[in-house]
Formats: sequence, C-alpha cells, structure tokens
Amino acid sequence: MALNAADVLAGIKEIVEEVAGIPAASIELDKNFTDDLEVDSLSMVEVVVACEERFGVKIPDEKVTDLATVGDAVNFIVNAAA
Amino acid sequence: MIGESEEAGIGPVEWGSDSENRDAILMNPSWIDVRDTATQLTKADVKWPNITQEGQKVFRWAVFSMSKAALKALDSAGLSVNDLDAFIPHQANVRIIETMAKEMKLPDSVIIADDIRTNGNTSAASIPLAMDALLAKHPELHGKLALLIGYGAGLVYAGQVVKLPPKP
Repeated sequence: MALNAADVLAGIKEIVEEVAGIPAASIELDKNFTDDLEVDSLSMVEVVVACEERFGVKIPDEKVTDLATVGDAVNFIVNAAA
Repeated sequence: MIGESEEAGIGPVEWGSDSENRDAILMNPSWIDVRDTATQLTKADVKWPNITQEGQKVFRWAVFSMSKAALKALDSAGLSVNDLDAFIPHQANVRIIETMAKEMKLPDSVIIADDIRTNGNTSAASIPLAMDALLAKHPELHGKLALLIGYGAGLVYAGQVVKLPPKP
C-alpha cells in the first residue's frame, strides 16, 4: 500500500510524542532523533515498533541505525510500503 | 515449597526459543573456539571470551516478543490481566520491565516487581529474588496470583502464572 509522506510524518510525530514525550510541534523532517530530539536508543526501538504496526512495514534492526533523522524514517517507511 | 493441594497453584508453562536471534546475546569468542587451547588462556595475547549483546535487538525481543509470551501464559491459565495481582518478570532492565507492562496493558492494580532498582540484574536468580522482595514489601500479595516470565541468551524464555506462597 502506497503511503503519503505527509501522513507518515504526521504519524511519526504522534508516535514520538507518545513514546518520548516530545511535543509534536518540535518534530520536523530535518531533526535528528538522537541529537535534536534526544530519543535514546531504547526509545528508538519503541518508535520503530510503533511505526511498523501503524504503517504495516518491517524495519529491520540493522536498518534502525541508518534512520538518523525524522526525514530518513519517513523516506524509509514510504519506500518500504511502496 | 511445593506440596499436594486440591487447588492448582502453578499454571501451564509457555516456553520457547528463538534461534534466529541466537547471536543477540553471545560469548565472543565462542568457548568452543577457545576451550581446546585453554592452557594458553593465561597468556596475555589470548583473549578471554566476553559476553556481548546487541542492545536494540534484545530490547525489541524482550519487550515485544516477551509481552506476547507472557500474555499467552496468562491465557493458558484461563486468566486475563484483570485477574492478576502481580507481575514478576526477569529483572534485566527497568526500561524493559516498564515497557512490557505498558505493552501488555497491565492495569494499575497489578503490582510490578522492581528488584532491579535495588539489586540490579541478578541474572538467573532474578525472579525468586524479586518475588521474595515483592512479598516483603507487599505482604498482601501472599496467596495471590503472579505472572512470571524469565528469558535470556539463546534466546530462550518461559512464563507461567503461579499462586504466590501463603504467609509463613
């Protein structure tokens, strides 16, 4: 199922806010999960699993380290769902 | 200790192994590779095996696969989370314990063992120690229902519901 990047971004914002308590308004495509949003490695796993469930994609553990920014995650999810 | 009873106090075991994740926690180098040269291990140039783990992989498995296994153990005992009084998981990491409880949607009435905060990860001894600490802190739990789940390198796991021992 094809996903729209704007919808994926909106979904990720909700998930990161829920998991890490970061206000959705401060979550933008160029934000780095670790450096800007201070999402630690274990919270990142929660974010990834929530994204898998929400968007119906598989994000392997070895790919998680490649998802540095919110934009990386949006692109990965959109491509994985295409 | 265990004795005869008219009433079941130990529920069915939900257990298994996940060999796909066998490298998630491992001894490196493998003992198999070094045991035949064990006499050399005293030499400075021979590396002793260390335990290593892939943290994110283990966290994902421990939280999300173990939550499912724990809920299955509960289901096998014919119970739901609302019937439960205590949750005593392996005391590996407080983040795993808290996220598991959230994932399993345990109601606030379920008291969660957190001996990890006092004694740290006590490895294979963690569930009995956590149970003992929990009963000392919450004597009202004697005779009540607790869900246990242990897991570790392999990756392997087993969970079951037990009736906590009565007050001595």
